[in-house]
Formats: sequence, C-alpha cells, structure tokens
Amino acid sequence: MAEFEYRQKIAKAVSPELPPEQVLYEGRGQSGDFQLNPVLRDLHKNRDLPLATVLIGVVEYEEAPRVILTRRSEKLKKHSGQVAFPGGKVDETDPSPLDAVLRETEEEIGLTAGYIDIAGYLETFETGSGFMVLPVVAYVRPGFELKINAEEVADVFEVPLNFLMNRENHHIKQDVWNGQLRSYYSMSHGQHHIWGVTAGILRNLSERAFDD
Amino acid sequence: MTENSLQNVIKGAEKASNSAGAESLPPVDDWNPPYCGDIGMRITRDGTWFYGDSAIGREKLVRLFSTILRRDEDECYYLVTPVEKILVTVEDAPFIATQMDVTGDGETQKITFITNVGDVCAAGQDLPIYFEFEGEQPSPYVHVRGRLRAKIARPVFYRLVDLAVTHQQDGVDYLGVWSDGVFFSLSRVDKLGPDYG
Repeated sequence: MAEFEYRQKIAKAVSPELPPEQVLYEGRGQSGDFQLNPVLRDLHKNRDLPLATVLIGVVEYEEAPRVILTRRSEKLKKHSGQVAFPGGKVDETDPSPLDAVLRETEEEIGLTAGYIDIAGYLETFETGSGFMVLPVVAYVRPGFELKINAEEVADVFEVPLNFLMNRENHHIKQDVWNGQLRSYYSMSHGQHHIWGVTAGILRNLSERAFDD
Repeated sequence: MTENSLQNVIKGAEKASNSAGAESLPPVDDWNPPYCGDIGMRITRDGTWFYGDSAIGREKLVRLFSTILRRDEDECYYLVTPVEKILVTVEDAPFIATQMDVTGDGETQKITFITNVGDVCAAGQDLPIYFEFEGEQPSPYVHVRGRLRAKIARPVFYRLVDLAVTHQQDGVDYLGVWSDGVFFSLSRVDKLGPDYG
C-alpha cells in the first residue's frame, strides 16, 4: 500500500461525527452478529444495549501500517482468551464515547492519547451477547511504550492492516453455542485467531474502505 | 519435563475418567487449570493424534485424551485436567466421523454418525450438520459436544449426498438432508441471501 493511501480509503469509511444518540442507545446496531445469523435480528429489539467502544489503532510504521490487537486475560469472566481491540464499556462518568475509548486504551495497554490521532467512527456493531459496540478508527504514531494491565490483557500484538483488509483472509466459520448453530468471521494470522465481534468489525472496515 | 507433563495429564485424565463413570464424560468445562504450554500434541487432518513426531497408536489412550479435550475462546484446543492444561494443535477438526447409520426416511429419517474416537452423534437440533468453505471447497462437519466437532469423512459425505432431497424454505429450493425432523441444507451457507452480502 502506498504511503498514506490507506488514510484516504479509511476516510471514506468512517464518520468524523459521533453518531446521534438514537443510533447509539435506541436503535438496532448498524451491523452485527445478526448479519451472518438472521435469527439474531430481533434478539435485543426492545432493549437499550450498554454501549462499548473499541479502538482500531492503525500504527503508521514506515514499512506498512499494522493494527493493534489484544488477547483478553484468562482472568476475565467474559470472552476470556479472545482476541479483541483495546476498549470497553462506556461509563456514566465518561464525558463521551471517545473519552471512554481513550481511557480504556490507556488502562489496558498504556497507550496514551498523545500518540493517537482519531480518524473517525465506524458503523455500530450489535453483538449477540448484548452490547452496542462503537468502533473508533485511529492512527497511532510509532514509538509508544506499552504498559500492559495483566488483569485485563494477556498479550498485545500487531497484525498488518493489508492482511486484515484482504477478503481472501476472511473465512466464515460455524459453531454451536447454547444449542444453536452460529456463523462468524474468522481470520487467522500465525498463532493468533481473530474471530467473532473483532473479526466482524474488521470485515466491516474492509467492506467500507477497501472495497476495490 | 515434557515427558512428565504428558504422564501427569494421562494420570489426571484416568482419574477424571474413573470418577466420571463409564457412561459420562469428565466435566472439562468446570475446570480452570493454568496453562502448561505446548509439548507437541497434534491432531492431523485425518484425525491421527501425534506426540512430537510419533503417532499415538493406542486407541484407548486416544479415546481417553478425546474425553478431556476442550476448545476455548482463543479458538485453541487444550487437553485439560483439574490441574493441567496443554495445547493441542488441531489441523482441521479434532474428530472424524468415519461411520454413518441411517434409519427411517423422509422427514423422520435419523442420521447417526460414529467418530474415530467412538463418539456417537445423532444429527438433529442439538447436533447440527454444517459446512465451512475454503474457497469453493466445502468441508462438512457434525457437532459433537461443547465446542468440539467432527469432520465428516469423504466416503461418509458421499453417502450423505446420496440422501439429499429438495426442500423449500422461504420460497427457495434447497438441496439437503433430513435428520430427526431438522433439514440441513447442503448449499453453501454464505451465498444464500442479501444478509450474507
């Protein structure tokens, strides 16, 4: 990818404005697990889902941009061991979802706002587990030092943006959860298996930004 | 060190298996042991278990291991006991459905698979038959338990295809098979409708 060409592509996929409140708190997700699993379409229809934000951090190395991912700690009750973006639930004390994602990113991996340049918001992703996830795409200046919070994060790693945006690396897999067959996206890079919500959000970014 | 880990896992598995009783499986989902590493356990595409470079030929040992196998949310497979957790590299599916029995016909037909490690899987609502695609090549699976599945062996899959009938869902004809009142489509799932993009 030519230098910063990906910035132009990402720019057309994200919105610089925070989505309106009814999109974040009242409506159905603009995307979600229901896309591959139509039976989940109305799963959370009459519920206000808790809002979470995640950071799709694109580290702008000279050679090629890479995306920051974490493996969630085995100590966590929800989704332990899963590959995820930095981020988490938006607290009432957070002035905005953007503040929340910056707070969570610093808490989890020690990456501070000074290294982060926000590109914008990607469409919301409604999870089968009952969260409304707002992905925030950002460019990250190399040279940061990570400080990993072992309570929440087991490992931090980076995967080339090129690899993640290439549809040939996106596979639809199926598995049985709670007695129901579910489909999900999966992309494996070396020993890292990116799947479920994280893979679904990356798929969205690839469809919106890298559709040519 | 690694030799010890494997011996410990075997001992733990035997103990768990004895206390679970002959008819039931060890409660692997209740255990939360610390990760003990990768000692070179592997299940190849054809379902053979390896320890390092050597295939594990003893059927009883493979059966024992299969009862303490677990797939976690990191998408990796582990052999677990109450105190150990070792990585198992699985090339495709951990088990292979090598035999198939069919009783009845039409919508009341029942298809039962038997795996290479002796699990009996009656396909239906709880144990679906499903497909994943690498490019255009379909891989058929049947759910076994927990997050474990069996790849349906080629000869068995050909027999399954012979049982296929057409069935209309939402105005569209699908080719598939019935088992225990459930219709399993053999068409590729990711090209069915607008939802699948």
